[in-house]
Amino acid sequence: MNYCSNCKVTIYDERNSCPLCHKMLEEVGDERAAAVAEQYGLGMRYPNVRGRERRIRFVMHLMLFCFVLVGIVAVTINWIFTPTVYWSLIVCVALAYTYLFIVYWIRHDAGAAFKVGMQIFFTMALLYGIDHFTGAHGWAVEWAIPGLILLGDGMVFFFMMLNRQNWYSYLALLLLMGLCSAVIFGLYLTQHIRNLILPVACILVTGIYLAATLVFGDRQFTRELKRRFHV
Amino acid sequence: MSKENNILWDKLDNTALLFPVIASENMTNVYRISAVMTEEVDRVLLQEALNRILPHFSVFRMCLRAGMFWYYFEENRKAAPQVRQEYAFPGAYINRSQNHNYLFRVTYYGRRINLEVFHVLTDGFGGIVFLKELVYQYLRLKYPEEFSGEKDRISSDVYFDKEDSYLKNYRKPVGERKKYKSSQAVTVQGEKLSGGALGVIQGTMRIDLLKAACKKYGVTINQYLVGALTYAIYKGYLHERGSEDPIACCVPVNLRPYYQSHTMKNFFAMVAAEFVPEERLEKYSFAEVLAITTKSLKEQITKENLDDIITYNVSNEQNFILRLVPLAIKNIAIKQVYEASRHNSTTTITNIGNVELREPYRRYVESFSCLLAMSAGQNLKASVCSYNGMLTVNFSSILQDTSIQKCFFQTLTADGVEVVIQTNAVYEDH
Repeated sequence: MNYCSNCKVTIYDERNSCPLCHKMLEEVGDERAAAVAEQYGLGMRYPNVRGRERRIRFVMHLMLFCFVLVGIVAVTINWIFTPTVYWSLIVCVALAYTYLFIVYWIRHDAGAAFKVGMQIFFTMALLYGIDHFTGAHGWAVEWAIPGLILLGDGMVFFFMMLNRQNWYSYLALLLLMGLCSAVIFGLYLTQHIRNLILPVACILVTGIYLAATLVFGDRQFTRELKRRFHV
Repeated sequence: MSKENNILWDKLDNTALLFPVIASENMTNVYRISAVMTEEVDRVLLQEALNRILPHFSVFRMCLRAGMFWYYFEENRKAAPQVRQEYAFPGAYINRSQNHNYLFRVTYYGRRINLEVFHVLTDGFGGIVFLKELVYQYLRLKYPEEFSGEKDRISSDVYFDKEDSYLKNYRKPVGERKKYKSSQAVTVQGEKLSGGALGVIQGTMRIDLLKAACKKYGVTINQYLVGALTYAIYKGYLHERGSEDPIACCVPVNLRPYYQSHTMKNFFAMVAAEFVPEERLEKYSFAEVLAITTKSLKEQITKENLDDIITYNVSNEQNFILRLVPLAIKNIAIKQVYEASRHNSTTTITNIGNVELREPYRRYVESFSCLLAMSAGQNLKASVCSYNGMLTVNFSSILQDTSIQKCFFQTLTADGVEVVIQTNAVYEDH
C-alpha cells in the first residue's frame, strides 16, 4: 500500500508512481495500512489480460500477412510466366474473399444460419463474377449456383439435425434457399438456363424440404414466422 | 402443443432497440457490476449458483435474434453460460453466437465476482437484482451451515416484472412535438492506451465524509459528483480555458421511482448536466461549476421533462410506417443518427445507487462496484455505486492521460474526503 502526497490519496496497487499525477509514491506504514484495510477493505487487483489480447491480435495479423504474401507470389508468378492472362486477379479476389469471410466468421456475432446465408449469397456473387470475367460461358448459373443451393439445403438439414431443439432458427435460411431456387427455376422457364436437371432438383428438394418442415414442424413453423416478421 | 415446444419470445424495450445496432468490439454497450467477497471465489460453486438462479430470471434467459423488421428476444434453453476466470478487459464485447448465446457473462478473479451485461437486456437496476441473488445463492452454497436457516429461493423483494415501461408510460404528444436538438459538446481526446486496453481507476471513499462535503455546498451526492467530474474536465482537459462547446455530462436517470415501475427491463432516461466555460480572466471555481451543473440537472430531472423524453423516444417506434421499414435499412438509419449525435456529450456518469444486502449475507461481501464500457465520442466514463457506508467511483477510460481522474479525486480530497485508489495496472509506472 502506498500514498501520494500530491493527490493525497492512498493507493492499493504495488507500483512506484501515482497513476494520477505520476509522482513517486511513499510507502504506507504497517499500522496505517492496517487501518486503511480495516476501514476500506483489502481491495481486489485485476488480472493481466494483455497477453491474451496481444495473442489474438498477432494471430489476426499473421493471417492477413499470409494472405497478402500468397497474393504477391501469385501476381509475381503470373507476371513472369503468363503475362498475357491475368489469372492472378481471380486468385487475389478469392484470397480477399476468403480472408474477409474468415474475419467475418471469427469477429461477427450473428448466428451460424445467418453467416451461412451470407456466405452462400456472396459465394454466388463471386462465382457469377468469375464466370463473367472469364468469358461469360454461363457455367455459374447453369451449374455452380444451383449446386450451391443444393449444398445450402444440405447445410440447413445438417444444422437442423445438429440443433434439433432449435431447428426452427434455420427456417429463415431455408426460406432463402427457397427464394434462390425459385429464381433459378424462373431463369430456366425464361430460357436463360438450358440445363433442366439442376433447376428442377433445386425447386424439388427445397420445396419438399419446406413442405416437410411445415407439416412436421406443426405450429413451430408459423410461430417462427410470426416472430421473424413481427412489426 | 406442449408448453415445452412453445418458445417464449419478447420484443426489445424502447431503449434496447438501439444497442444491437451500435454494439461493436469498440463500443460494447456492456456494463459490469462486481461484488468483492471476503474470501476467494470458488468457480464450481459460482457456476452452480448461476445454474440455480438463472431459470428464475426470464429477462436474462434470452438470446437475441434478428427479425425482418426488428430484433427480438427468444428464450434461450441452453445451459447457463460458463463461469470463467476474468480473461478480458472489463466490459468486453459479448459475442451473441458464443457464451451459449447468452447476453451476459459471469466471471471471477480472486475474491471478485463480475456480472457483465449487454445493455439490451436490462439496466443497472436489473443487473444489481441479478447479481445480489447470485451472491446470495453462492453464499448459501459456500457456507451451508451458516445459512442453514435460509431457503434456496429468490428474495421476496424481487419483482419479475418485464413490461416495457416506456410504452406503458408513453402519452401521445399533444400539439407540436418537443424536439431535443443537442449541440456539439467538448470531446475528451488524447493518446489511447496500447493494445485496445481499457483503463480502470477506482476510488473508494466514506459516504459520511462525502456527505459532509456535499453539505458545504448544499447539494446531493449525485449532484456533487457530477459537478466534480465537470470541473475535472474543465481543469484537467480544458486547462481552465474557455470553450464555445459545453462540457456535457450525461446522467442516466432511473425512471422507476417516477412511474411506479418495477420492470426488470431497461427503464432510464438520459439527461445532461451542461456547463459552458466562458472565456474570462478569472477561472471558474469548483463551487461555481457545481452550482451551474446542479441547476442544469434540477431543471431536467422533473416529471414533466422525463415525460417529454419518453414521448420523444417512443413516438418514433410507434410510427407505423417506420415500423414497416426492414431491419437492415433501420440499422443503417439508426447508425447514421447515432453517429451524428456522438459528439453531443462529453462523458457519462452513472450512479446505480446504494446496494443493500440482507443481514446474514452482508458480512461476506466487502464491496460493490460498477463500470461502464466506452461508447462513441466518450473516451472516459464514470460509474458510482455505494455499499455498506462506502462509495466507489470507477473511471473507465481508453486514454493514457489521467488528468481528469486526477483533478476529480484531488477535488474530493481538497474537500476533506479521504480516497483510496486502485487501478487495473494498465497505466504506465515509472
